[in-house]
Amino acid sequence: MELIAPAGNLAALKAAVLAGADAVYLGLKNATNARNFAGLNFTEADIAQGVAFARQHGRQVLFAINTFAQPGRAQEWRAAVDAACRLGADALILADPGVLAYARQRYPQQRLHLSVQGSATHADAIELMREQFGIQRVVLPRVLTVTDIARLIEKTTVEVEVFGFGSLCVMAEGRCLLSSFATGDSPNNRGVCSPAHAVRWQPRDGQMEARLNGLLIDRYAPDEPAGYPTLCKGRFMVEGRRDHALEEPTSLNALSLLPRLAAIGVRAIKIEGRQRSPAYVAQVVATLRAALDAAQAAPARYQPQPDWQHTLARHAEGSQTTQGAFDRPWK
Amino acid sequence: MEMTAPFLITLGPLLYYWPRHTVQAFYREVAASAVDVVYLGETVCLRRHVMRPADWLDIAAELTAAGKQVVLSTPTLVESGAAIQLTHKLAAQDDWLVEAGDLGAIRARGGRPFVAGPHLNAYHGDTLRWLASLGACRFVAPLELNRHELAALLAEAPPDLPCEVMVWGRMPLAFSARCFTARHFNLSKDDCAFRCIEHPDGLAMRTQEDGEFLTLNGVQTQSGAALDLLDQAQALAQLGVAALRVSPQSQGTLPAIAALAAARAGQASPSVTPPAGIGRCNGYWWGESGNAWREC
Amino acid sequence: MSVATFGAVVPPALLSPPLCAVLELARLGRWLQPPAELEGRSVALTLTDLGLRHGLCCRDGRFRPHGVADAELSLSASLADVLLLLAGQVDADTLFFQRRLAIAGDTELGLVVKNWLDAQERPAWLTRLAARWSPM
Repeated sequence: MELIAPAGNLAALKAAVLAGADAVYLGLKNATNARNFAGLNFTEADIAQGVAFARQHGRQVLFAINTFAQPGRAQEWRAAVDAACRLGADALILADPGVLAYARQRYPQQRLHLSVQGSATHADAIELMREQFGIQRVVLPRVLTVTDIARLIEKTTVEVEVFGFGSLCVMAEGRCLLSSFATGDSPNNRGVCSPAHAVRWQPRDGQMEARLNGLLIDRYAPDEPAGYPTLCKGRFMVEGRRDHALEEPTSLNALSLLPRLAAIGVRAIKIEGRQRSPAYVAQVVATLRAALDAAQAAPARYQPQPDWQHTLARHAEGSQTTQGAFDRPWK
Repeated sequence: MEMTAPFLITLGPLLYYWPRHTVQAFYREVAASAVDVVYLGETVCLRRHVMRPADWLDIAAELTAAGKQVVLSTPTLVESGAAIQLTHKLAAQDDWLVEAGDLGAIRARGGRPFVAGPHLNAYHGDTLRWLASLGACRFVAPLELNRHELAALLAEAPPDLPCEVMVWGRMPLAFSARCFTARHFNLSKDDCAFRCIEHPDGLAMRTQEDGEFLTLNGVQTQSGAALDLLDQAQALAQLGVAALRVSPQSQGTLPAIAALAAARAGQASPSVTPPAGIGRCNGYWWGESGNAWREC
Repeated sequence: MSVATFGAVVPPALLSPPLCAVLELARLGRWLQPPAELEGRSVALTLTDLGLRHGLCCRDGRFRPHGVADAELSLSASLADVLLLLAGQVDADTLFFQRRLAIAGDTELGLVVKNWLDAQERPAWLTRLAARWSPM
C-alpha cells in the first residue's frame, strides 16, 4: 500500500518525502481546494520546487482541486487544473463532475483521482465516474466498514484509497453543509469548515468558550483537552442533556487495521492534515511508514508498536483515537 | 400590476419516520392540495419499515389518480447492500420518474430520465450539462446557494434542464454513517428501537445557551429552524426557477403549499407558521449564514 | 520576588523589546521572514510560566514593540513551548489540543501566524539545537 501525506507548505512537503511518503498531496492558495486557510498552501513557485524535490527522491505529487466550482466561476477551477498539469502533477484529486469533465477532455492522459469530497460510497457511484471520466483511484468517504470496503473493491477496477490517520469527519464528505449553515462558508463552496474568521475563543468564568459566528460550540474547563471548534464536535443540548451530540473531538487511527486493509486490496493509505505543521507531518508519516513496512514484511505477525501509538496519540485531536467507521463500535 | 411567472409546486420526500396511518393520512391531504409533483420514498434510513414498498405504491397510485406527478426518490447515503438493492429496484422501474439521491442511482438509471437530487452538488453549468447528458430532466439546486449564485447557475443551465429549489421546511444539511438519534438514547444503530418515530420533526439540538441550531433525524442532520422562502416565490420564478419544493413537517406543510399556490395566482400569501418551537431561516438566500433570518 | 510575579510589576513596554530583538535576529538570520499578511498586524504573547507579556507588531517588514492591551491577537504558552514553536519543533495544533497554547482575539490572524511559523524552513543548526529542548 502507498502512503499519501498532506502538505500545506513546502517545508511540510520536504518533511513528508524525507519521512518516507510515497506521494504528497497539496493545494493551490485559493478556494479550489478543501483546505483554503489563511496563510496556508502553495504558490506556483513553491510547487515547482516541491515537485522537483519529490522527483529527485522518486516520489509523486498529487494536486487536490477538490471543492465545487461555484456558479459563474468555473474558469477558476479550470485554471487550477491547467496549473496542476503544467506544474507536473502525477494525479489530480477532483470532486466536481464538471471539473472532472474539463480535465478529462483537455488532458486525456492525465491521471485523475476522485476526491473524498466526491461522495462515492459504493461501486455503482465509483464505476459511473470511471466510465465517464476514467478515474483511476477513488478516495473513500469515512463512512464505510472494512467489510463494505472489501465488497466494494470486488466490484470495481478503480484503485481504492482510504484515510488511515487524522482528524475525523463524522459526516459523509462532500455532503455536509453544517459549516455554511452556521457561517456561510463550507467545504463545498469555500474550501473551509468552521472557518477561522468566524471562530472566537473567549475566557469566561474560568472556562474557555469556543464560538462560531456567535454560536456557542463548546465550553472547556481549564485542563480539559480542546478540539477545533468544528461545529460537529461541540457539546450541545438535546432534550435537556449536554453532550457531544454528533461526535467527540477524535482522530481516526487505523494503525491496527493495516494488514486487513492490505489484504482486501486497498491501494493507498492517506494521512489527513494539510493544515498541520511540518513537525506533525514528519512524525506521523515516519510512524505510518514504519507500520506499513512492518505490515508488508510480516502481515501475520504484525502488531502496532506502543511507540507508534504513542506518537500518533500525541498528535490526535482531543487526544483520542478511534477506528471510526471502519469497525463501527456504535453499530 | 406585476406580472406573475409560473412555477410547479413540489413536495419533497418525507424525511422523518412517522407511523403508517399518519403517513397515509398525510398523503391523502396532499392529494387534495394544489401540489403538482410529489416525491415519495424513504431516503434517510432503510431500517425504517412501517411503510412497506406496497404502501408507497398505493400512495403513488392515489396521487397519480389525483393528477399529481409522482417521483420515487432513491436513498441519499448508500453504503449497505440494502440501500444498493433498493436503488437498483427503483431505478429499474419506469412506472414513475426517479429522483437520484446519489451518483450510483444515476448509473443504475442507465440513461433513462431522472431528477438530479439536492445532494448531487450541481453547482455550475458544466456539471448540469453532464447530468443532462446522462438523462437528467430536472435538477434540485444546492441548498447553500444565495440569490446571486442561483441566478448565475440558471444562466449557465442547459435550456432543457429545469431547476427546482427548496423553499420551505427544515433543511437536510448532512449525512453520516452514524445514527445520532440512536446515539442520543445510548442505543446502537442496529438496535435503535426506532426511536425516530417519537420525533415527528426530528430531535432539536440546541446550543448550551439554549439557542436554536440543528435537528437530529437519524443519520441525517437538519437545520434547527425551518427554511422559509415562501415570500420569495415570485422572485424565484422570475429568476427562472421552474419548481419550488416544500419539505414535509408535522404541521404547516399544507399551508405552505397553499401559500405557494396563492403566490402563483398573484395573490398575497399569508405567512406560514412552522411546527411549535421551530423558528424560521432564510440566510442562504440573502448571502448570509444559512441559519440567519431576515425579515422582508 | 518569584519569576511568576515578575511580569506583573514590570511594565509590558519594558519587556517587549527583548522579544522583538529575538524575532528581528531571526528575521535578519533569514529563518523567520514575516509574510505580507502580517504587515500592520499586532500580537500579544504571554509566557505563562514566567508571567511575562509582550506586544509586537509587524511594520515595514520588521518586528516592533506594540501595546499589549490593544493587540488584535493574544497567544499564551510557556517559554519552552514558544521556543519549540519558533524552532519548528512542535505542531501548534497539538499544543492547542493539549491546552498548552491558548488563543484569543482574531483567530484568523492566529492562523496566519501559525501557518507562517510552519512554512519557514529553519537552519539545520537550529533544528539540532531545538531537538535537545524537546520533551517529546
